[in-house]
Amino acid sequence: MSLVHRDKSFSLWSKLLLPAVIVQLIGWYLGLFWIGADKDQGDVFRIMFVHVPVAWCAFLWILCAAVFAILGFMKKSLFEKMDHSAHAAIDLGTVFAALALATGSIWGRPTWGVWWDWDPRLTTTLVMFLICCAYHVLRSFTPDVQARRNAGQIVAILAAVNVPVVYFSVNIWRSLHQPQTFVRKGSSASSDIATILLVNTVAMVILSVVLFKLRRTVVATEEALDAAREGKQQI
Amino acid sequence: MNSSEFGNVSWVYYVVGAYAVVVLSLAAMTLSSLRRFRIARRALKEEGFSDDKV
Repeated sequence: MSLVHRDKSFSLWSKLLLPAVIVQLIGWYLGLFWIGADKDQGDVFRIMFVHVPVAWCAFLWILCAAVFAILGFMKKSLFEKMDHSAHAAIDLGTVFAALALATGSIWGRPTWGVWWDWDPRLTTTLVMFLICCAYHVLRSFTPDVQARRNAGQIVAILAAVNVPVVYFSVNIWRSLHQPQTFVRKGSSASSDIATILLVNTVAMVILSVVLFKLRRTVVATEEALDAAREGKQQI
Repeated sequence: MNSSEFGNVSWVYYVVGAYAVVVLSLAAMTLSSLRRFRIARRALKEEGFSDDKV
């Protein structure tokens, strides 16, 4: 009897792992050694090439979790699969949100003089991270499988509602954090910086997709194990 | 103060620290996921379930 089906697309994506790692290393090399220092921030601006991609990955996976949750609610036949996907996506969203906060804090110390400030962008990102943590707490403390899945899906949707608030917080409120540089016309960022940032972001997104596939397989296998053990106990 | 230093700390420590946090976290997540998968798959086998598609 087989309970867990191998994710065929995982094999496909895992083949992309090595090229993605190579592209990521090239991107980091360009960001760390090739491009010159920023005229205002000096060399410390190089943190941008890791901070921005992880922040965007956090947004991406939290939004994906909400999409999976909504699809699960809309199509009951897909509910279990979508729950596994949403769970894996929130796992990644939690890690990437934590990394965005950590790298942002490391960047903030030399540029703002503080490790942390209750600035709108930082505070809303912290709220986004805490909602992801709430998802894990809720799942851990809800024994009933169906209730756990329903509650998890609702929290995943709530986490996604916060993403636009985080993204636009620098425009809505007065903030220490710089506004979105690359979406405005007449951006001060050079095309070199934009290109290197794009390379790093694409590499990080591909790496995160491979990680997502791996996490989803883990979630599905562990749930299958729990179901098998519960089935044995009932017998 | 040198323009590339912040307090007494060189920019290198901040940049290396930021990159190291990301690399180590993602590596830890990958390795822990692989370990959890192997443990769960072995336990499933022990429970008597075929792992041919696991």
